Amino acid sequence: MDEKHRHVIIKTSMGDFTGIIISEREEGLMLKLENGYQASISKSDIKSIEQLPQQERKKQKNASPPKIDKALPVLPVISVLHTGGTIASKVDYETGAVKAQFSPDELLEMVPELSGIARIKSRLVRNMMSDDMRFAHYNLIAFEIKKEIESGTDGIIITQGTDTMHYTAAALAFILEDLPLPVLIVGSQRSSDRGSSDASQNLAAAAYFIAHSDFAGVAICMHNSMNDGTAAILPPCKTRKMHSSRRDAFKPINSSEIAIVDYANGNIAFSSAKHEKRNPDMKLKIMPIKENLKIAIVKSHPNMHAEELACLEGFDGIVLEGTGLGHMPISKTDEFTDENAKIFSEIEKLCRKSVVAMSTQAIFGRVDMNVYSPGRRLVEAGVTGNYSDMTPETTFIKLAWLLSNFTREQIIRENLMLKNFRGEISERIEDNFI
Amino acid sequence: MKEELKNLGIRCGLEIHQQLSTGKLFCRCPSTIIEGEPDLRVKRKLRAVAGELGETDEAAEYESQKGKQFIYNFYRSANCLVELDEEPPHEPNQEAIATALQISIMLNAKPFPELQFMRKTVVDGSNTSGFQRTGLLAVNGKIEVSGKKVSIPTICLEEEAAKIVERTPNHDVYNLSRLGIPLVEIATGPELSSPEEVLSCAEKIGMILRSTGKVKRGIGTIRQDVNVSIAGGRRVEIKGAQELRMLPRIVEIEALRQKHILEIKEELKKRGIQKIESETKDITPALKNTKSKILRDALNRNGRIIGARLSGMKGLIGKELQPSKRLGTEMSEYAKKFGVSGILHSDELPGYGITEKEAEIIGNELSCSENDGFFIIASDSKMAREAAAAAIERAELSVDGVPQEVRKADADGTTSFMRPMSGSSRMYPETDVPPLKISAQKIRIPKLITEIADEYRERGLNSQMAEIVSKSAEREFFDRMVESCGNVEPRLIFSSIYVTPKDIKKRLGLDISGIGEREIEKALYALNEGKISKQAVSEALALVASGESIENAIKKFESISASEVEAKVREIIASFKSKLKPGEQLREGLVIGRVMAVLRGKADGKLIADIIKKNI
Repeated sequence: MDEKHRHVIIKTSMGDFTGIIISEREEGLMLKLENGYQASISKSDIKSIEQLPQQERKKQKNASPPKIDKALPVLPVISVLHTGGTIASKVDYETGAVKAQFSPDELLEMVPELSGIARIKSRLVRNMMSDDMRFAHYNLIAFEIKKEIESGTDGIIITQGTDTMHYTAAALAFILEDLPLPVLIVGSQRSSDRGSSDASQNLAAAAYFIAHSDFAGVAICMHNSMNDGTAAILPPCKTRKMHSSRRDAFKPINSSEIAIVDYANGNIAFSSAKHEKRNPDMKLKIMPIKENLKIAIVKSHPNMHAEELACLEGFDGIVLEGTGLGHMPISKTDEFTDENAKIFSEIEKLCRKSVVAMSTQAIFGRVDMNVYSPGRRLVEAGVTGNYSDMTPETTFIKLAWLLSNFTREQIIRENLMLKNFRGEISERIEDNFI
Repeated sequence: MKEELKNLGIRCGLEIHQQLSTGKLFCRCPSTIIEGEPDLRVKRKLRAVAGELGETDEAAEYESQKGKQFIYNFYRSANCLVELDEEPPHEPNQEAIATALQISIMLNAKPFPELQFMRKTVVDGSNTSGFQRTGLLAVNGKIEVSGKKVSIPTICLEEEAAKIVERTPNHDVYNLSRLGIPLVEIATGPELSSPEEVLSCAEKIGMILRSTGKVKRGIGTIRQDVNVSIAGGRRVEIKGAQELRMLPRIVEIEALRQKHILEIKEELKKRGIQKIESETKDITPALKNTKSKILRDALNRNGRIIGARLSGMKGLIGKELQPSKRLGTEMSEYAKKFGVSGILHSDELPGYGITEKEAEIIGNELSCSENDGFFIIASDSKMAREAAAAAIERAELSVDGVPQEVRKADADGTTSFMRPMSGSSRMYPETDVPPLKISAQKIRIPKLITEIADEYRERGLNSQMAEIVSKSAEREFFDRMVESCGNVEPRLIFSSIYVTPKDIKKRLGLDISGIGEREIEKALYALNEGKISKQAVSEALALVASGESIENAIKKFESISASEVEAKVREIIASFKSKLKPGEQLREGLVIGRVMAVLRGKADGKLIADIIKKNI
């Protein structure tokens, strides 16, 4: 037991308490009592503290690599690269919050069925909240993926926090060209320290999908409903976190799931036969995102001010989350709307030096700036992205990637925002909605 | 206390769980339990995980071993995403905390300056998150029961679990509407030393809880678990006592059960048995011609008959531990957890279609010597072997005395094995809910029901009425009516609220759901203002039960003045006189009857009688 967990008897005005000191602060301390509860004891109530001999803690087996039964057929190799988040967590006694702080082997011990599906390699790449990720991390992960492929693997699972998973998925899809095998991004909405955590099932479904399908490419693997039992394999550039807390928060936008996996019953149902397939002959090429790029996302809204855009002078790219079909408040229509003219001139200014791309804050549906005159004015001003059905987040990632691998002129002249590199554009939207 | 219990060294403690009637503890859903077809069914599985100090919990592992699927019935009017474990918990319900604090103070316990909720791992499916949120609110309280000081070491505030609807081998179905209702858990020390003391203690604590006016009422809203041990025995936790009144019987039977187990322990010692030796064997070929239906049924389904010898246990397996329950029953209960329907043991054979010769054959197959016992299980081979191992485990524990278990109380006061007792390592902080600062300063302590009943007696209600009012949910209404209807006798107010409606239902067979506080209030106000007579109150309420509105009912009975009564009486007498034949006398009875039929309730009965007398 480490020094912090002192075993003591504390005599107070409320009574005597025996237990382990969990944490100490100015005002008092937290004591873990023998009945398991944590009690808060005020320093002012304490009469005495007496140290007791340290307790024998129950011997806990340390997580060890799973034994490979040589008699069984050789299972495929899956590399798990952890970047942190709720999929791997434990309690932080200082703040009382759940923090990323957990060894990869302990995670695998939590999901024993993984060892029956594949031979698991596991590595900690980073230990961070997904909100803190930057372009540098996407590149880092991409290079780790390349390293894994070169050292020999049949598929890769990236674990990270769910908040920005859809950004990471899109980024990796763009960065990794000619990916010969599957890279699945997996997270959990419920912390992995609890019995109901979706972490185990998401991981197991991802592993099963890698081991039992010919799919190649980047995808997200998360619950597809509030029920346990099945998971969805989601397109990396057409998925978004649509709920702050539900297990099935990730939904395809203007698209369908690639497949539904029922790993307990051994069933994989693809939505369509067409998908990128494994090809060991493909040579992975990394097209990274320039780490010093400055890209902003600005959400249009009533009562907007030109300053919200003016401050972006010098940015390489701006993603506009327009309203409806891709509109901004740029028309002066009466005595109250003077500001709108200023907003328009800011947009014009930005279009001259940066690349400004439109998306819709309605999330679903397609941008079409031809229908109303504000839209047409924006196109004339140089805003790109007309006919795009990409989410604002995918637009952001794609813009960053384009600016990293093409010139500004190319992007505009060849309308690269609308060129379909990784399936991020749907030429046809069927009836997919909420 | 019964003679046979006196020297056992009985020690009991109570653990009372009381549902509060405030909103749910960690979300803003109402604390209502809904039955029937759910709005949604959600399917889940749970896993056992390691606790905060890296230890896993035995009981949790035991449950999750079974790998079951859980189906949760979700009701929109009582459930939200929090109960589905799809949203983090909200700020704790302030009213629930205040009520729990009131209770703590009334039990003389000391609250901590901060309330830290913990996650208590529960993977039997009754909590969607795999844990129950529970917090230790106050400690070191005490109350007096039958002149004895009983300690109240802990008072906790926690959330109620989902309610089991159905258990099948593959899945359990739970009703989610109950999940999240606030629960106050009160644990006493083991100072209760007789069945009677246990009952008195439970009654007193129950009364204190009801005095807050914030506890739910009805079946299942309060649960009393009792811990029982005797000298030389071990603490056994008994859950599921349906009624308070059953507690003494449960305690009695458990104390004797432990006594009988200790007698088995002694006997084994006498026989020189330090450890129960046992071997399991598949003895199916030896019994292939049996005519026993139980065995045949299993064999016909491709089952096997697995037997096990138990050294030195002849005659002990059949020893009665509780009325109609033997050691063999307890072994069977362990076995049943693995899916078999039970065991058959040597002390109950011949029987169940198994002949004496067959019993002999079994004994030989299992190499039993004179003092040995055995049991057999007929089922699917794998299940039978697992079940046999469990039954052997229970047999082996006999050498050691009373197993420390959690047992379930049945309706007759006997108990059956539920699960092993769990350790304390299964709690870790609920980090989604920041610790709450607790201040007892602004807490108003309600009067105890017993004190209130005394006060009513002092104000003129008889003892029985005082007790009824003080315990009732309508007490505030009663007080209000007494306060605002100064011209009405409290006794009449009492009967209008507590007696008349039930009487109407009984006498007239009418549906009294339409008689609410509003209707009774209007009737009493009308009486208070002299608009209707005393008798009219119950008559008006009866009309309401027939479907009339209270306003119309009151109108029908509005009193007429004395002069109006006089005029009516004269009118009726005159009409009778006009119909008289020559020489016929006016019959008073008929007149009274007619007058009452016409004037019923519209004036005071005595007044009417006087006026009739005067005019005849």
